[in-house]
Amino acid sequence: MKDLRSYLSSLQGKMADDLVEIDTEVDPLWEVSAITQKLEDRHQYPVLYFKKVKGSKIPVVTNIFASRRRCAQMLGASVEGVAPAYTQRLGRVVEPVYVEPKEAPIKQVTRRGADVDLFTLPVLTHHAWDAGPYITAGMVTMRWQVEGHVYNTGLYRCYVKEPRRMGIFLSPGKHNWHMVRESGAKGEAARVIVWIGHHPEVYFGAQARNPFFQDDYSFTSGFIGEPLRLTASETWGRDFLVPADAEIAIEGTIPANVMEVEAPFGEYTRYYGEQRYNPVIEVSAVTHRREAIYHDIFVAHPDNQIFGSFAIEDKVFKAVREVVPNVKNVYLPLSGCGRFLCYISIGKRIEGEGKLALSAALPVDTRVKYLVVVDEDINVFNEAEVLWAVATRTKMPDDLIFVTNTIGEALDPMAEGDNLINKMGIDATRPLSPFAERVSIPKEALERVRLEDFVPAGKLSTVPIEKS
Amino acid sequence: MAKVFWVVCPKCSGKYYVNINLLGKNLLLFCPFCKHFFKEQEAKEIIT
Repeated sequence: MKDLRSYLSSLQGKMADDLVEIDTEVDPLWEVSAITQKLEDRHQYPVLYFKKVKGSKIPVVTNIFASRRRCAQMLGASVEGVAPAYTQRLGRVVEPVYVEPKEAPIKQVTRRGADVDLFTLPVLTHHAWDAGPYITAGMVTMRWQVEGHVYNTGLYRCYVKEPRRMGIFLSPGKHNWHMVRESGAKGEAARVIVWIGHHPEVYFGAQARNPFFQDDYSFTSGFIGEPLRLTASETWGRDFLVPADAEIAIEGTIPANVMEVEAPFGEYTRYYGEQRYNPVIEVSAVTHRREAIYHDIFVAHPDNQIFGSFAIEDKVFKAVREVVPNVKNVYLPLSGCGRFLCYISIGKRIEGEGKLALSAALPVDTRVKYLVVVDEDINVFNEAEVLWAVATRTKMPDDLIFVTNTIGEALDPMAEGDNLINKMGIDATRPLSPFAERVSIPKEALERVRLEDFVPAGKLSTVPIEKS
Repeated sequence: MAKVFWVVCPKCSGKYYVNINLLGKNLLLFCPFCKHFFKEQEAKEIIT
């Protein structure tokens, strides 16, 4: 059975260097962020487990998703193999299983009504302008108003503003945004459960961009390769189910047409999202495991950017594969915040396939703005190679496609009006007609030559290393 | 077209930005620095 604890145990066992446990007490106000940032400055991205957090009895784990290498290993893939692996896992659908509350760890501690105090949780304040403490790894779960138990799950920021009240930003166009609007139009409150802390594979499965009216719990079960264990909620019983093995669950309702001031908040764009009026969650119950662990995602940093990029890479990979079966890889680099830039490699067989791939990928996600298609000899994970292909294999404007005033992303600082943006695709694949050959050194010579045989002893370690 | 406007908190003079759609509605705003609630009209300065 997969949960956050089993993942942390696996790290302690096989990947101990990827986990740093900190015994010294930390302040949830900026201090965890400062520690994580200082490690980031050293290009180190371990999972951080803070055992003592000021003002709470609950420890904090953060930075789980900050390493693409670690995330790829979690999915049983190489760093280069994430998109195909993710797509393959999402192709499976497995029914979740129901467990009685008395057997569900999430029910070990329950608080209802006036006994709830969200400020007992170690919710972090990450950046200087943040309006206050934000839950950043809260998997916001709602139930579609269709026949049967059909749930939608997605990661949304939740602002802890009062002991039983949170603000929530539902990005326009996302599934939960539609559900809240639908309830609001009927004058009804929307039911919601925000669960925090589970096996990272569960997070990846729950974050997948599945079609409307599909059950994300079933996709998540398929993704992790075992039925997700669900149990009854405190507030609605078996009519609204919650993952039994999550660490913490916050139950509540989003009242119809109530909007309150929320943000600023440091977002994945590495900018502050501006102050807005957004819906609120009126909390009815909190349940958690004994000795619960609070999971935080370090927003605006790789922990957040890598986590969100995998689901988009999967969507782009699938869309391109529909029209260009020889698609090789898809990568959303950190330089584009894991959202705005997208590199695609294909094994081009006929002229026009580059632009065909671009046409398929451009509308896939509102956040993907700039795409580059390259040949399979270009490593999409090496931005210098991608830009070399752009520099040497394109002739503008022939290799450009451009879409103006299409729907973008609310958090994009360049989006205007109703979040309109322009999108651009660059076909940086070689023409199939006779074309220049890239230089290479004969393999025989590379295998024969050993630097130590030519460079004076001790000199090699003193020659400056240039990073560019 | 600008997406945000800047406001200066009447209490601490902290400066931050707000979604442009809220401009002129005189809604309650919230200073992230000193946690003070204030109406747009009370802002020390509005920069558009």
